[in-house]
Amino acid sequence: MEYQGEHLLIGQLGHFAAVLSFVASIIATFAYFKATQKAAIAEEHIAWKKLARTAFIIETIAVVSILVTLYIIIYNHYFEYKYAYQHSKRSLPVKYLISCFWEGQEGSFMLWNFWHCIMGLVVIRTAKTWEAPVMTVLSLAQVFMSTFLLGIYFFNVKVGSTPFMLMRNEHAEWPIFSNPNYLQTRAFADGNGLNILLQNYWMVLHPPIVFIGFASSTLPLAFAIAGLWTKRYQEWIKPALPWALFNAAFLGIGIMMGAAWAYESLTFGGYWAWDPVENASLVPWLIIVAAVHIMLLNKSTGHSSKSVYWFIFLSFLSLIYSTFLTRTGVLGDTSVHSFTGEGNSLFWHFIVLMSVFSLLFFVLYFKNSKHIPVLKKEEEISSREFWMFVGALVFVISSVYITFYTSLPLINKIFGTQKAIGEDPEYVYNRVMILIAVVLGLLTAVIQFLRYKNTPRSFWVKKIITPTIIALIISLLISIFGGINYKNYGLGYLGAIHLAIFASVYTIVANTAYIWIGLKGKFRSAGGSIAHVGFGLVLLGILISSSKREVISINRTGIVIPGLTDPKGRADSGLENITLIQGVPTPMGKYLVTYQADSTHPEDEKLYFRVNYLHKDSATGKVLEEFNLYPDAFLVKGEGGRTQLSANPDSRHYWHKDIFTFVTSMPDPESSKDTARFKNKPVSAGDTIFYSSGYIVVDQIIEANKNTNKDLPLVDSAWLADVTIYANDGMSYKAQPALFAKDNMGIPKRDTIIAESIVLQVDKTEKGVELGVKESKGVMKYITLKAFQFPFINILWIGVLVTTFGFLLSMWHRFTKN
Amino acid sequence: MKKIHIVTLVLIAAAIAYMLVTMSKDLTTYDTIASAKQKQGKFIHLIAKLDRSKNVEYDPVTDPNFLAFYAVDSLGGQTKVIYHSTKPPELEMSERIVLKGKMNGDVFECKEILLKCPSKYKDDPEHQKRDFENKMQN
Repeated sequence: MEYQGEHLLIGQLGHFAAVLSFVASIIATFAYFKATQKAAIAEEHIAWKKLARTAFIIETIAVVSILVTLYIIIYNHYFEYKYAYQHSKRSLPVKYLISCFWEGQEGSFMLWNFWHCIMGLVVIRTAKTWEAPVMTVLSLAQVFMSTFLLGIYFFNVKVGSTPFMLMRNEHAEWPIFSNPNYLQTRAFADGNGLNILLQNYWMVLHPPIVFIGFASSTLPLAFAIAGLWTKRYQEWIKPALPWALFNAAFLGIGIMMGAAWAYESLTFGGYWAWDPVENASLVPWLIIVAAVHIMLLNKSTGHSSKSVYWFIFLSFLSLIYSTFLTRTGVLGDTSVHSFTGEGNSLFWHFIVLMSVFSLLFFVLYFKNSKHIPVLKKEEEISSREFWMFVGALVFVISSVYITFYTSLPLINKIFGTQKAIGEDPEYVYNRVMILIAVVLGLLTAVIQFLRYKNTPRSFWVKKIITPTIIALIISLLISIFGGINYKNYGLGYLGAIHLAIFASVYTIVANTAYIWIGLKGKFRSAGGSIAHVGFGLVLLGILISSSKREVISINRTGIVIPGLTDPKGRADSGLENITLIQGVPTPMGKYLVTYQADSTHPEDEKLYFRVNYLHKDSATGKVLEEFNLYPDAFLVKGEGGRTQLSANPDSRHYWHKDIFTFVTSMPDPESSKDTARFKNKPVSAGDTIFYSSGYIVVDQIIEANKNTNKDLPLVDSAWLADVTIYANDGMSYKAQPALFAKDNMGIPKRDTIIAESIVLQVDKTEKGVELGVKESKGVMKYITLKAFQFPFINILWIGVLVTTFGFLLSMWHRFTKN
Repeated sequence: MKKIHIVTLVLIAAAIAYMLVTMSKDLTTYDTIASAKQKQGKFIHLIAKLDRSKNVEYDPVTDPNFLAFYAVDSLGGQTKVIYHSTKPPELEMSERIVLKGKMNGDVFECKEILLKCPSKYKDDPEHQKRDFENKMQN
């Protein structure tokens, strides 16, 4: 059959590029392998290296071609391709077309692929004698990465999945594909669109950055393997160090961009929730940071010459393992935003990837381990290297703890158990991490003042005493006047928070001081200290913003729900959502909050709610502060035509706090279109009127006019009804609708029973008084919202920037020194 | 043995000991509705489905923090669920729900709801098909 209107060439080009990148990576691996083996024979070495470089450059071109062709497909809305059909739609703004790339699995692997190639080119330019062995490992990794995009069957096993799949091949059994003009049908007029959560500017930035971090974790391992392979057991550390620092910097900032995205567009009320996806990216960062420190101490002292290999290997392995956990769907129900699996093929793909690299490392390591030079002399307790090792170990232990709990679903699968983290998952992590923060904070503060090899006590005490006193004063001030009084988990935990605050302030002060005392203000070599200051700021920001986080949308209706308790077993009202009826000011914390209006934007599917915050002085009534927040919500037509709500928060940023507001519920606008009419019936006292879910008894009808009643000065006459509504669920309500007349104009005063969605009115005709009932779902507009206050969250974001800057400065310093 | 090795071993031993001690307290189990009813008052995870034959009770105007619905599981168990927070917007569309909470008599008092929504399963062929059929109808 000839299908009409398809654009097949572009997809074929893309698929060809994917296959080409696979073949080229195999050639590059082999040629670099030969080049390394023949390093002694200059002529052969050069010939192999030339071939390898050509192959690698061809591979890079192929990978770029994949990206470009896929972008063309998405940009031009070629919906015959599954990728465009599943992940984009015509109304999507161009800036989010890029985000379509990483909604699917293939796009993320493509990014990884791409950054590997770019980094490979940098290695080729800079690594000199290290090029051949390092690039062998990198190209081998590329063989695996490019197979993720193949989607080709080898002996009945599907390997990878191609992003250039056509809808009619993916779903060949669908009847529509017997129509050669299927592209003209309504179903193919538009794509399914991008997950609304990804339609956020952080999601344009976060994935590429995080994948720089992912891709760069291959390089330290590549150098370590190259060192073992070419028997340069210590020399590899120097050229590997800038890469490790680069890895730590980008993984770190990438993770925190994800946190910023979570903060701004997820409604779990914070930037971190110990979700498996978050944990999975944190663990490799913890280990690479540990590895950086071991590399540094080894370079300066020669100690830990063997363990440095293991730290590097672990950082790479943990990264692949994390990706395995989040990408293959093994986490299943435990993660809010885990990806779904490509099924078995992806699962085994990762298992093979991990096994091959582990095997490669083990074989080379154990073959060479007796040749790795080890210092006989023991580390002094007063030496810097001793405590750096301890610190690195604490990093790794914390990551083992996180990994264990994150891997529970996998452990369940392997051992057939049914275990899950209990009532309070965040506390399971926080409880341990706060102690780790104390230990790491203290170590980070004091270690720089220690010298390598050993430190004379008087020297150390003299230098550290001033920063210690300053830090003690500052942290005491914060503890005493900061109002940090987080007692949800008892006094022990509160104590730990205050200790951790001291430790983080100590880190900040001591490392700032070290830039002058220890480094004499030499900015170029201050990268480490700056990163430490940033780390201290991050800790401090986390501690203050989390322990002082406050729900301000407490519903003060006074209803305490029986049986509901907080994690420590105390009674908890749990009423953290407040309902705002349009136009009705509702007190919330110190604010008077009003849902004023909602609006849509023609090019945007979002519905924006204008929520007005007003802070008045309670004594004078003077307006102290007024601002509007615009939390928005997406209304998505889902299955069965039902609309679903997906909300994005809005925050009011102050220098010292954020007020964070998001919509948790709203009425379905479809059902709130008010098409219902009043049904009027003549009534007198004692009458009964039925409505769909109950009946109304008229208790009395009062008629009054100016002549008979002197209390009616404002209107000419009035008709009032006193009624009782008996609902089918056993509830009863009182209502008093009325009609007033002035100058022959009727002024109805309607009464609304919200719970029953009915509106009552009184009417007067020649026949007498009538009672009108309107049953309507759209009785009123309301939103339910939740609001938090995050104090000093900016310390966290500033800390992240400072840490990243420190890493990069240090990287640049090491790189130029090489 | 070097001091650094002793420190390493002590730290690792302490970590393992800590985990062994706390683990039994921190971990809970996935249960069916039937087995949950045997474990009154114990915090568990329930894997179930929304019972679509019964009403979902939620009226944010009267109380935004009260949601009640019925859940069923694949083994035929059924229970009423009460959740003191807002209704997750995708509840009605969910294919599977994980409920975290305690059984209290015949009512499951839920502290957290995790939804497995079809929207998260874009890559699932079954879901693609349903999506597609919907599109044709509209």
